[in-house]
Amino acid sequence: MIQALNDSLIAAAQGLPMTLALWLGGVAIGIVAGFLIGAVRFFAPLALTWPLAALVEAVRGTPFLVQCFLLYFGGPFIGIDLSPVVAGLVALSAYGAAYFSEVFRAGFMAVPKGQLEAARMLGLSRPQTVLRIMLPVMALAVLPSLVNLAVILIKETAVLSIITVPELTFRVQGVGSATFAFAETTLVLALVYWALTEATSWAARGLERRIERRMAA
Amino acid sequence: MDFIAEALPPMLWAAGNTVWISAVGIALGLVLGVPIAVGCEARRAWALTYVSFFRGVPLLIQLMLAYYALPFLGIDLPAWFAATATLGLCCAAYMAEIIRGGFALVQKGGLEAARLLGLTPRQILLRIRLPIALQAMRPAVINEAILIVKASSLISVVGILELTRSAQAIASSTFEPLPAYALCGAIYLAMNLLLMMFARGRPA
Amino acid sequence: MNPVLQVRALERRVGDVEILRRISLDVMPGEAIGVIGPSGSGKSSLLRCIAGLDPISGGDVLVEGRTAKPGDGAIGMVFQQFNLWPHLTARDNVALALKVVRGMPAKDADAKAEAALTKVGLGALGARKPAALSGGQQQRVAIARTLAMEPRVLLFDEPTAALDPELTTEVLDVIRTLAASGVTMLVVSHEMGFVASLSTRVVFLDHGVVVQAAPPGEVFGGGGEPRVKTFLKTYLERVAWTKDA
Repeated sequence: MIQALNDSLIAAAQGLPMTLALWLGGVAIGIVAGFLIGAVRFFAPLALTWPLAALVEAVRGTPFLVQCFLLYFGGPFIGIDLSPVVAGLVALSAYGAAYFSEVFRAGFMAVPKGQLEAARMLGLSRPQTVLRIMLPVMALAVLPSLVNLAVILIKETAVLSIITVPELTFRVQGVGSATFAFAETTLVLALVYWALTEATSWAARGLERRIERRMAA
Repeated sequence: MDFIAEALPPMLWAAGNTVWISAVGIALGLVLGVPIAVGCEARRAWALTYVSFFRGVPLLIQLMLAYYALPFLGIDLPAWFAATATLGLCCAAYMAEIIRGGFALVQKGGLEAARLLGLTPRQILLRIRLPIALQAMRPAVINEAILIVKASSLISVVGILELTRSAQAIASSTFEPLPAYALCGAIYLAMNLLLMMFARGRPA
Repeated sequence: MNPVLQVRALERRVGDVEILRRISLDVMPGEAIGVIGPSGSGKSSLLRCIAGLDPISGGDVLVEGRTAKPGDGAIGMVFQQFNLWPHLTARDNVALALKVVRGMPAKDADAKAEAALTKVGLGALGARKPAALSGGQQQRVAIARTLAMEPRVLLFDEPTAALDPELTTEVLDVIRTLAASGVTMLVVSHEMGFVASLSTRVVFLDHGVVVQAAPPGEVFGGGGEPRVKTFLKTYLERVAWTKDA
């Protein structure tokens, strides 16, 4: 039993970098793509944006696991033949982008109209207003939601083990299959993820508090 | 077209499993969510730890724990029972947060008025706080329900035949994973759109 | 002397609803026009149409003979909700338009912003963000922000309506000082005493029509228009009830 725990911890340490890389990559790509989608959906006329809206709803309305299967197993039939790691990163980024885009869109909508009217009265041009008023005001408003989503995405990375991405869950499960010590390995996994999400949530709360303090200075 | 004619009936049948597993999970989550929300409000360690654990650990790992670790402790449950219960326990952690948010919306004055009129704490909870909170929570609860329907796909991993598992089976038997998973996704989407319409359809 | 602001047969309709019906008003340099009237009478709409924020259905608004556009610097507006930008300090709120619209070098803009803040009594608080200021202070920063652009006409849209009663005085005092120094302004307000003491002329608006436009003595003195008298009576009963009244 001690042996199994030990092996699990070693496997966890080996898998953690992949989990963190996929997570950070997925969050980064997801935020950039989500921002672009959210901005287009907010600024462009509805007639142009409904395909984008349909895509976002399709991603938000289906399980991440099914999306992974569709991309990884279905992709090769239409010429998208990706390695597990790349497929995992693409899937995670797309999944994140759909949710992030909704956060950004809501953020744009939440900028008080009066603050934009004030800018207009003072002569700021439309691009100046977007760049200097809308974006900063929106960024502050959406930050907690972005961080929240990022934490949720850590947990989704575990699903990638099912399409054989060699991340944390996959590695530690490997120990389980080799030793049949599934209980011990799963326990180690649970504790590692718990620590990971608690740590990021804690860091996020600290960040939020710092920003609040700065805004109230 | 042939593919759909062949694959749709078994998938819809399996989707029925998804529906009731999700429904049980959501119901369990709502019921367990109330005492956990009350515990969280009172800053009870058990409640806070519960929410932190079930929100902090991926559902996939929770399912594996129920599937592998419980038998190890000598608790041998049927797989479908363990899986549905895990879904419900996990849902309860999220529901507790939603209920807590709903409680926060109930104005203190209304509760003080109830107390001055002589209602017991239990009566205040069941007759004042919960009804008001439930009203305010409805969109968040529907949202959580959609998340649970999607999360139920992970149950396929422990071998229970629900929508995702049936799509996997069809994909490997027909060697046509693309239409199989696309159809599977479309069915999930349809279920969730129905839920969303339910959320919007009735006035609050 | 030519009017600095000319409102000619201004109309605003939304669907079938006539919000403003052919309103005409000439404002001379240095005048302070108080705009009063019941809720929904079109007071705020009038200001927003003059500012160019709401589209007009007919008539024109001229500042010094030219059609005014929002942002051309001719008209400044102070809003009920202050509308300060929360991510910028008080000083940066005031200096931003000077820099990016007027193209002023940062140093000059900051100095000018500092001067504008001093004018409204906030010289010491320039480094604070709006969230760290009281409502009255925020509104004074908003006034400084508008003032720094040196508009020909200043519009105040219920500048104290969002403030706690004890915070209104500091804002009203700033507006009074500006009026005394010759700033041309239109003020929509429910503070009747303030309007009476500030205005060179009072415009009473009801259902989108100017019912009376006269010096405050005439409007508040009880002469003429029955609708005005009813409005003022209701107001007085609310704010200054006495047993004999």
